Amino acid sequence: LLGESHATLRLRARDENENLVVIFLEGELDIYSTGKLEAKMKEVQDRAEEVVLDLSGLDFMDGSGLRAIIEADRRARERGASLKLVEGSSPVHRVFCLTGFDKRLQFVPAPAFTRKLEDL
Amino acid sequence: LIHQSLLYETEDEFLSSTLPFVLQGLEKGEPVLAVTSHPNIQLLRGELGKDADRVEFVDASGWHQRPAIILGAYHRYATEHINHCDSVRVIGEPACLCQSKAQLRQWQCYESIMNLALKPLEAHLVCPYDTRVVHPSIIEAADLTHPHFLNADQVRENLRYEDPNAFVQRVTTQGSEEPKVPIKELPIRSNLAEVRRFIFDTAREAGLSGEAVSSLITAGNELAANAIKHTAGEGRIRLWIEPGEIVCEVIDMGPGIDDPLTGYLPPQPNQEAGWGLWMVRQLCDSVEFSRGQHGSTVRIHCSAGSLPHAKG
Repeated sequence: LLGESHATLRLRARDENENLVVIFLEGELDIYSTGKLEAKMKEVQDRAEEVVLDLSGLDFMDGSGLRAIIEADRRARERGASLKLVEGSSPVHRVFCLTGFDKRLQFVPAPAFTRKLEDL
Repeated sequence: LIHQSLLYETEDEFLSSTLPFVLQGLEKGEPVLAVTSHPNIQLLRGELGKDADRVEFVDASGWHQRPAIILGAYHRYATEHINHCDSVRVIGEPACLCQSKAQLRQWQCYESIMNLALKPLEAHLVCPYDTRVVHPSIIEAADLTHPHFLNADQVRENLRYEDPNAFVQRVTTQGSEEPKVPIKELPIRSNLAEVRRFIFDTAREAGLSGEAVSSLITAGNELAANAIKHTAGEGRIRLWIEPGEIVCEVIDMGPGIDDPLTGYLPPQPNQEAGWGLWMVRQLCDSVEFSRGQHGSTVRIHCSAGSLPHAKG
Protein backbone atom coordinates (compact mmCIF):
# COMPACT_ATOMS: atom_id res chain seq x y z
CA LEU A 1 0.00 0.00 0.00
CA LEU A 2 2.81 2.40 0.85
CA GLY A 3 6.19 2.29 -0.79
CA GLU A 4 9.19 2.18 1.48
CA SER A 5 10.87 5.14 -0.11
CA HIS A 6 9.08 8.44 -0.37
CA ALA A 7 7.31 9.45 -3.57
CA THR A 8 9.60 7.57 -5.79
CA LEU A 9 8.65 6.08 -9.07
CA ARG A 10 11.08 3.70 -10.66
CA LEU A 11 10.54 3.16 -14.31
CA ARG A 12 12.27 0.81 -16.72
CA ALA A 13 11.60 0.41 -20.41
CA ARG A 14 12.69 -2.52 -22.46
CA ASP A 15 12.42 -2.99 -26.22
CA GLU A 16 11.06 -6.46 -26.85
CA ASN A 17 11.40 -5.91 -30.56
CA GLU A 18 11.27 -2.88 -32.83
CA ASN A 19 7.52 -2.53 -32.43
CA LEU A 20 6.97 -3.54 -28.85
CA VAL A 21 8.20 -1.81 -25.70
CA VAL A 22 7.38 -2.90 -22.17
CA ILE A 23 7.49 -0.27 -19.43
CA PHE A 24 7.65 -1.55 -15.90
CA LEU A 25 6.59 0.77 -13.07
CA GLU A 26 7.53 0.38 -9.45
CA GLY A 27 6.75 2.59 -6.45
CA GLU A 28 4.17 5.35 -6.35
CA LEU A 29 2.52 7.36 -9.09
CA ASP A 30 1.22 10.74 -7.89
CA ILE A 31 1.22 14.37 -9.05
CA TYR A 32 4.98 14.60 -8.43
CA SER A 33 6.03 11.44 -10.21
CA THR A 34 3.52 11.40 -13.06
CA GLY A 35 5.65 13.77 -15.17
CA LYS A 36 8.34 11.13 -15.34
CA LEU A 37 5.87 8.61 -16.76
CA GLU A 38 4.43 11.14 -19.21
CA ALA A 39 7.84 11.97 -20.61
CA LYS A 40 8.74 8.31 -20.99
CA MET A 41 5.41 7.44 -22.60
CA LYS A 42 5.79 10.17 -25.22
CA GLU A 43 9.29 9.09 -26.08
CA VAL A 44 8.37 5.41 -26.33
CA GLN A 45 5.11 5.94 -28.21
CA ASP A 46 7.04 7.94 -30.82
CA ARG A 47 9.02 4.89 -31.78
CA ALA A 48 6.94 1.83 -30.94
CA GLU A 49 3.54 0.76 -32.23
CA GLU A 50 2.74 -1.33 -29.23
CA VAL A 51 3.43 -0.40 -25.62
CA VAL A 52 2.75 -2.52 -22.58
CA LEU A 53 2.60 -0.66 -19.28
CA ASP A 54 3.19 -3.11 -16.47
CA LEU A 55 1.67 -1.76 -13.24
CA SER A 56 2.19 -4.92 -11.20
CA GLY A 57 5.04 -3.36 -9.22
CA LEU A 58 3.13 -0.19 -8.40
CA ASP A 59 2.06 0.38 -4.78
CA PHE A 60 -0.05 3.49 -5.27
CA MET A 61 -1.63 5.49 -8.07
CA ASP A 62 -3.77 8.63 -7.86
CA GLY A 63 -6.00 10.62 -10.22
CA SER A 64 -3.03 12.28 -11.91
CA GLY A 65 -1.51 8.89 -12.69
CA LEU A 66 -4.82 7.79 -14.15
CA ARG A 67 -4.90 10.95 -16.22
CA ALA A 68 -1.45 10.26 -17.69
CA ILE A 69 -2.52 6.74 -18.64
CA ILE A 70 -5.77 7.92 -20.25
CA GLU A 71 -3.75 10.45 -22.24
CA ALA A 72 -1.31 7.80 -23.37
CA ASP A 73 -4.22 5.59 -24.41
CA ARG A 74 -5.77 8.40 -26.42
CA ARG A 75 -2.44 9.08 -28.13
CA ALA A 76 -2.13 5.41 -29.02
CA ARG A 77 -5.65 5.28 -30.49
CA GLU A 78 -5.11 8.44 -32.52
CA ARG A 79 -2.06 6.85 -34.12
CA GLY A 80 -3.62 3.46 -34.64
CA ALA A 81 -1.10 2.08 -32.17
CA SER A 82 -1.86 0.16 -29.00
CA LEU A 83 -1.44 0.53 -25.26
CA LYS A 84 -1.91 -2.50 -23.06
CA LEU A 85 -1.82 -2.55 -19.28
CA VAL A 86 -0.82 -5.21 -16.80
CA GLU A 87 -2.97 -4.91 -13.68
CA GLY A 88 -1.51 -3.44 -10.49
CA SER A 89 -2.10 -4.18 -6.81
CA SER A 90 -5.66 -3.87 -5.52
CA PRO A 91 -5.44 -0.20 -4.35
CA VAL A 92 -4.03 0.68 -7.79
CA HIS A 93 -6.60 -1.28 -9.75
CA ARG A 94 -9.41 0.21 -7.69
CA VAL A 95 -8.69 3.61 -9.26
CA PHE A 96 -9.52 2.10 -12.67
CA CYS A 97 -12.62 0.37 -11.31
CA LEU A 98 -13.98 3.47 -9.55
CA THR A 99 -13.73 5.49 -12.74
CA GLY A 100 -14.91 2.80 -15.17
CA PHE A 101 -11.53 2.62 -16.91
CA ASP A 102 -11.10 -1.02 -15.96
CA LYS A 103 -13.47 -1.62 -18.88
CA ARG A 104 -12.33 1.15 -21.21
CA LEU A 105 -8.62 0.38 -21.18
CA GLN A 106 -7.07 -2.81 -22.42
CA PHE A 107 -5.79 -4.98 -19.57
CA VAL A 108 -3.79 -8.06 -20.40
CA PRO A 109 -2.61 -10.93 -18.21
CA ALA A 110 0.83 -10.48 -16.74
CA PRO A 111 2.80 -13.70 -17.14
CA ALA A 112 3.95 -13.43 -20.76
CA PHE A 113 5.71 -10.17 -20.03
CA THR A 114 6.76 -10.35 -16.41
CA ARG A 115 8.81 -13.46 -17.01
CA LYS A 116 10.88 -11.54 -19.50
CA LEU A 117 11.16 -8.53 -17.22
CA GLU A 118 12.87 -10.55 -14.55
CA ASP A 119 15.92 -10.55 -16.80
CA LEU A 120 16.22 -6.79 -16.64
CA LEU B 1 -37.14 16.42 -14.12
CA ILE B 2 -40.22 15.93 -11.99
CA HIS B 3 -38.87 15.07 -8.56
CA GLN B 4 -41.53 14.22 -6.00
CA SER B 5 -41.64 12.83 -2.50
CA LEU B 6 -44.12 10.34 -1.16
CA LEU B 7 -44.50 9.91 2.59
CA TYR B 8 -46.31 6.71 3.49
CA GLU B 9 -47.17 4.76 6.58
CA THR B 10 -49.17 1.87 5.21
CA GLU B 11 -49.05 -0.55 2.30
CA ASP B 12 -52.14 1.11 0.86
CA GLU B 13 -50.59 4.55 0.96
CA PHE B 14 -47.52 3.22 -0.83
CA LEU B 15 -49.49 1.39 -3.50
CA SER B 16 -52.15 4.05 -4.16
CA SER B 17 -49.40 6.43 -5.35
CA THR B 18 -46.72 4.20 -6.82
CA LEU B 19 -49.05 1.95 -8.80
CA PRO B 20 -50.58 4.76 -10.92
CA PHE B 21 -47.07 6.19 -11.30
CA VAL B 22 -45.78 2.92 -12.75
CA LEU B 23 -48.88 2.32 -14.89
CA GLN B 24 -48.71 5.79 -16.45
CA GLY B 25 -45.11 5.09 -17.42
CA LEU B 26 -45.87 1.70 -18.91
CA GLU B 27 -48.76 3.18 -20.86
CA LYS B 28 -46.43 5.69 -22.46
CA GLY B 29 -43.82 3.04 -23.13
CA GLU B 30 -41.33 4.61 -20.71
CA PRO B 31 -38.63 2.53 -19.04
CA VAL B 32 -39.50 2.06 -15.35
CA LEU B 33 -37.02 1.35 -12.58
CA ALA B 34 -38.33 0.60 -9.08
CA VAL B 35 -35.81 0.66 -6.25
CA THR B 36 -37.65 -0.09 -3.02
CA SER B 37 -37.90 -2.56 -0.15
CA HIS B 38 -38.50 -6.24 -0.78
CA PRO B 39 -42.06 -6.19 0.66
CA ASN B 40 -42.92 -3.17 -1.53
CA ILE B 41 -41.59 -4.95 -4.60
CA GLN B 42 -43.87 -7.91 -3.79
CA LEU B 43 -46.83 -5.54 -3.41
CA LEU B 44 -46.21 -3.86 -6.76
CA ARG B 45 -45.60 -7.17 -8.52
CA GLY B 46 -48.85 -8.52 -7.13
CA GLU B 47 -50.83 -5.57 -8.44
CA LEU B 48 -49.09 -5.34 -11.79
CA GLY B 49 -49.49 -9.01 -12.70
CA LYS B 50 -47.75 -9.76 -15.97
CA ASP B 51 -46.97 -6.05 -16.50
CA ALA B 52 -44.43 -6.48 -13.71
CA ASP B 53 -42.08 -8.01 -16.27
CA ARG B 54 -41.81 -4.61 -17.94
CA VAL B 55 -40.52 -3.00 -14.74
CA GLU B 56 -36.96 -3.30 -13.53
CA PHE B 57 -37.08 -4.01 -9.78
CA VAL B 58 -34.15 -3.54 -7.41
CA ASP B 59 -34.20 -4.44 -3.72
CA ALA B 60 -32.96 -1.25 -2.05
CA SER B 61 -31.57 -3.01 1.01
CA GLY B 62 -29.25 -5.13 -1.10
CA TRP B 63 -28.23 -2.24 -3.37
CA HIS B 64 -25.72 0.58 -3.01
CA GLN B 65 -25.74 2.09 0.46
CA ARG B 66 -23.96 5.35 -0.29
CA PRO B 67 -25.95 8.37 -1.58
CA ALA B 68 -23.23 9.43 -4.03
CA ILE B 69 -23.18 5.99 -5.64
CA ILE B 70 -26.98 5.81 -5.83
CA LEU B 71 -27.21 9.25 -7.38
CA GLY B 72 -24.61 8.20 -9.96
CA ALA B 73 -26.63 5.05 -10.69
CA TYR B 74 -29.86 7.00 -11.33
CA HIS B 75 -28.02 9.45 -13.53
CA ARG B 76 -26.51 6.58 -15.51
CA TYR B 77 -29.91 4.89 -15.85
CA ALA B 78 -31.56 8.07 -17.09
CA THR B 79 -28.81 8.99 -19.57
CA GLU B 80 -28.58 5.46 -20.94
CA HIS B 81 -32.31 5.15 -21.58
CA ILE B 82 -33.18 8.67 -22.62
CA ASN B 83 -32.00 8.16 -26.19
CA HIS B 84 -34.64 5.52 -26.78
CA CYS B 85 -37.65 7.21 -25.18
CA ASP B 86 -39.17 10.54 -24.18
CA SER B 87 -38.81 10.13 -20.45
CA VAL B 88 -37.72 7.63 -17.81
CA ARG B 89 -39.55 6.82 -14.61
CA VAL B 90 -37.86 5.89 -11.35
CA ILE B 91 -39.12 4.92 -7.92
CA GLY B 92 -36.14 5.66 -5.71
CA GLU B 93 -36.69 4.68 -2.12
CA PRO B 94 -33.69 5.64 -0.02
CA ALA B 95 -32.58 2.79 2.22
CA CYS B 96 -30.74 5.02 4.64
CA LEU B 97 -29.47 2.98 7.52
CA CYS B 98 -27.58 5.90 8.94
CA GLN B 99 -25.29 5.54 11.86
CA SER B 100 -23.70 8.96 12.07
CA LYS B 101 -24.71 12.59 11.81
CA ALA B 102 -22.49 13.00 8.77
CA GLN B 103 -24.32 10.19 7.00
CA LEU B 104 -27.67 11.75 7.89
CA ARG B 105 -26.54 15.07 6.42
CA GLN B 106 -25.36 13.33 3.28
CA TRP B 107 -28.73 11.62 2.81
CA GLN B 108 -30.51 14.92 3.34
CA CYS B 109 -28.33 16.65 0.76
CA TYR B 110 -28.54 13.76 -1.69
CA GLU B 111 -32.20 14.51 -2.46
CA SER B 112 -31.44 18.19 -2.88
CA ILE B 113 -28.51 17.55 -5.19
CA MET B 114 -30.63 15.18 -7.26
CA ASN B 115 -32.45 18.29 -8.51
CA LEU B 116 -29.18 19.63 -9.92
CA ALA B 117 -27.84 16.31 -11.16
CA LEU B 118 -30.91 15.23 -13.13
CA LYS B 119 -32.16 18.71 -14.03
CA PRO B 120 -31.50 18.53 -17.77
CA LEU B 121 -33.03 15.06 -18.10
CA GLU B 122 -36.58 14.08 -18.91
CA ALA B 123 -37.27 11.97 -15.87
CA HIS B 124 -40.05 11.33 -13.37
CA LEU B 125 -38.62 10.42 -10.02
CA VAL B 126 -40.68 9.57 -6.96
CA CYS B 127 -38.94 9.03 -3.61
CA PRO B 128 -41.08 7.06 -1.16
CA TYR B 129 -40.27 7.48 2.52
CA ASP B 130 -41.58 4.95 5.00
CA THR B 131 -42.26 7.25 7.96
CA ARG B 132 -42.29 4.26 10.32
CA VAL B 133 -38.60 3.49 9.84
CA VAL B 134 -36.79 6.46 8.29
CA HIS B 135 -34.99 8.87 10.62
CA PRO B 136 -37.18 11.95 11.39
CA SER B 137 -34.49 14.39 10.24
CA ILE B 138 -34.46 12.74 6.82
CA ILE B 139 -38.25 12.97 6.54
CA GLU B 140 -38.05 16.62 7.53
CA ALA B 141 -35.42 17.32 4.89
CA ALA B 142 -37.43 15.47 2.21
CA ASP B 143 -40.06 18.14 2.64
CA LEU B 144 -37.52 20.80 1.61
CA THR B 145 -35.70 18.94 -1.14
CA HIS B 146 -38.52 17.79 -3.43
CA PRO B 147 -40.13 20.36 -5.73
CA HIS B 148 -43.26 18.17 -5.87
CA PHE B 149 -45.37 15.80 -3.76
CA LEU B 150 -47.07 12.70 -5.07
CA ASN B 151 -50.44 11.92 -3.55
CA ALA B 152 -52.38 9.09 -5.19
CA ASP B 153 -52.23 10.12 -8.85
CA GLN B 154 -51.95 13.83 -8.10
CA VAL B 155 -48.67 15.70 -8.45
CA ARG B 156 -48.66 18.84 -6.35
CA GLU B 157 -46.18 21.64 -6.11
CA ASN B 158 -44.21 21.79 -2.86
CA LEU B 159 -44.19 25.37 -1.61
CA ARG B 160 -41.56 24.59 1.02
CA TYR B 161 -39.01 23.50 -1.58
CA GLU B 162 -35.63 25.13 -0.96
CA ASP B 163 -32.98 26.02 -3.52
CA PRO B 164 -30.39 23.18 -3.53
CA ASN B 165 -27.36 25.48 -3.18
CA ALA B 166 -28.86 27.16 -0.13
CA PHE B 167 -30.08 23.89 1.36
CA VAL B 168 -26.74 22.09 1.02
CA GLN B 169 -24.85 25.04 2.39
CA ARG B 170 -27.13 25.26 5.41
CA VAL B 171 -26.87 21.54 6.19
CA THR B 172 -23.09 21.54 5.65
CA THR B 173 -22.70 24.40 8.09
CA GLN B 174 -24.30 22.24 10.78
CA GLY B 175 -21.49 19.75 10.29
CA SER B 176 -18.53 22.09 10.06
CA GLU B 177 -18.01 22.71 13.74
CA GLU B 178 -14.64 22.08 15.35
CA PRO B 179 -14.28 18.53 16.68
CA LYS B 180 -14.16 18.08 20.44
CA VAL B 181 -11.69 15.22 20.23
CA PRO B 182 -7.90 15.23 19.72
CA ILE B 183 -6.81 16.10 16.17
CA LYS B 184 -3.74 14.95 14.28
CA GLU B 185 -2.46 17.53 11.87
CA LEU B 186 0.18 17.74 9.16
CA PRO B 187 1.13 20.68 6.93
CA ILE B 188 0.90 19.72 3.25
CA ARG B 189 4.35 20.33 1.87
CA SER B 190 5.44 19.32 -1.59
CA ASN B 191 5.48 15.67 -0.64
CA LEU B 192 2.35 13.60 -0.99
CA ALA B 193 4.09 10.43 0.15
CA GLU B 194 4.41 12.12 3.53
CA VAL B 195 0.66 12.83 3.52
CA ARG B 196 -0.12 9.21 2.65
CA ARG B 197 2.19 7.98 5.38
CA PHE B 198 0.49 10.29 7.88
CA ILE B 199 -2.96 8.97 6.93
CA PHE B 200 -1.74 5.39 7.00
CA ASP B 201 -0.14 5.70 10.45
CA THR B 202 -3.10 7.56 11.96
CA ALA B 203 -5.66 5.16 10.53
CA ARG B 204 -3.76 2.10 11.69
CA GLU B 205 -3.26 3.58 15.12
CA ALA B 206 -7.03 4.11 15.31
CA GLY B 207 -7.59 0.44 14.56
CA LEU B 208 -8.56 0.65 10.88
CA SER B 209 -7.40 -2.01 8.50
CA GLY B 210 -7.60 -3.27 4.93
CA GLU B 211 -9.74 -1.49 2.39
CA ALA B 212 -10.87 1.22 4.82
CA VAL B 213 -7.26 2.38 5.12
CA SER B 214 -6.56 2.32 1.40
CA SER B 215 -9.82 4.19 0.67
CA LEU B 216 -8.87 6.89 3.14
CA ILE B 217 -5.37 7.17 1.69
CA THR B 218 -6.69 7.50 -1.86
CA ALA B 219 -9.32 10.07 -0.83
CA GLY B 220 -7.00 12.11 1.42
CA ASN B 221 -4.28 12.09 -1.24
CA GLU B 222 -6.69 13.53 -3.84
CA LEU B 223 -7.74 16.33 -1.49
CA ALA B 224 -4.13 17.15 -0.62
CA ALA B 225 -3.18 17.07 -4.32
CA ASN B 226 -5.98 19.58 -5.03
CA ALA B 227 -4.66 21.83 -2.28
CA ILE B 228 -1.21 21.74 -3.86
CA LYS B 229 -2.54 22.35 -7.37
CA HIS B 230 -4.80 25.26 -6.47
CA THR B 231 -2.86 27.10 -3.78
CA ALA B 232 0.63 28.26 -2.99
CA GLY B 233 1.16 25.26 -0.75
CA GLU B 234 0.00 26.46 2.65
CA GLY B 235 -2.55 23.71 3.12
CA ARG B 236 -2.85 21.26 5.97
CA ILE B 237 -4.49 17.94 6.56
CA ARG B 238 -6.25 16.96 9.80
CA LEU B 239 -7.53 13.61 11.01
CA TRP B 240 -9.66 12.61 13.95
CA ILE B 241 -11.87 9.81 15.16
CA GLU B 242 -15.60 10.02 15.76
CA PRO B 243 -17.88 7.15 16.79
CA GLY B 244 -17.75 4.53 14.04
CA GLU B 245 -15.85 6.72 11.61
CA ILE B 246 -12.65 8.49 10.79
CA VAL B 247 -12.77 12.09 9.62
CA CYS B 248 -10.25 13.73 7.32
CA GLU B 249 -10.13 17.39 6.49
CA VAL B 250 -7.98 19.41 4.13
CA ILE B 251 -7.82 23.15 4.66
CA ASP B 252 -6.17 25.53 2.24
CA MET B 253 -6.19 29.17 1.22
CA GLY B 254 -7.49 28.40 -2.28
CA PRO B 255 -10.81 29.59 -3.70
CA GLY B 256 -12.73 26.55 -2.43
CA ILE B 257 -15.59 24.73 -4.12
CA ASP B 258 -18.99 26.39 -4.53
CA ASP B 259 -20.94 23.91 -6.62
CA PRO B 260 -22.46 21.24 -4.33
CA LEU B 261 -22.76 18.94 -7.35
CA THR B 262 -18.97 18.71 -7.64
CA GLY B 263 -17.83 15.10 -7.78
CA TYR B 264 -21.33 13.61 -7.99
CA LEU B 265 -21.36 13.13 -11.74
CA PRO B 266 -18.54 11.40 -13.57
CA PRO B 267 -16.52 13.40 -16.09
CA GLN B 268 -17.15 12.41 -19.73
CA PRO B 269 -15.53 9.02 -20.35
CA ASN B 270 -12.98 10.54 -22.73
CA GLN B 271 -12.13 13.32 -20.30
CA GLU B 272 -8.74 13.01 -18.69
CA ALA B 273 -9.06 15.36 -15.72
CA GLY B 274 -11.66 15.72 -12.98
CA TRP B 275 -11.69 12.17 -11.70
CA GLY B 276 -10.20 12.99 -8.31
CA LEU B 277 -13.32 14.27 -6.54
CA TRP B 278 -15.48 11.66 -8.25
CA MET B 279 -13.27 9.00 -6.63
CA VAL B 280 -13.45 10.75 -3.26
CA ARG B 281 -17.28 10.75 -3.43
CA GLN B 282 -17.31 7.07 -4.36
CA LEU B 283 -14.99 6.15 -1.49
CA CYS B 284 -16.37 8.20 1.41
CA ASP B 285 -19.65 8.30 3.28
CA SER B 286 -19.78 12.04 3.18
CA VAL B 287 -17.88 14.84 1.44
CA GLU B 288 -18.58 18.42 2.47
CA PHE B 289 -17.18 21.72 1.21
CA SER B 290 -17.15 24.78 3.39
CA ARG B 291 -15.35 28.04 4.01
CA GLY B 292 -14.27 29.30 7.38
CA GLN B 293 -11.90 31.72 9.01
CA HIS B 294 -9.04 29.25 8.44
CA GLY B 295 -9.66 28.88 4.71
CA SER B 296 -11.47 26.59 2.31
CA THR B 297 -12.22 23.19 3.71
CA VAL B 298 -13.13 19.78 2.41
CA ARG B 299 -14.21 17.37 5.12
CA ILE B 300 -14.74 13.68 4.50
CA HIS B 301 -16.16 10.99 6.76
CA CYS B 302 -15.35 7.33 6.24
CA SER B 303 -17.13 4.72 8.29
CA ALA B 304 -15.00 1.94 9.62
CA GLY B 305 -16.49 -1.29 10.90
CA SER B 306 -13.58 -1.79 13.24
CA LEU B 307 -14.25 1.43 15.15
CA PRO B 308 -16.82 1.54 17.97
CA HIS B 309 -20.18 2.96 16.90
CA ALA B 310 -22.31 5.53 18.62
CA LYS B 311 -24.91 4.05 20.92
CA GLY B 312 -28.55 4.10 19.87
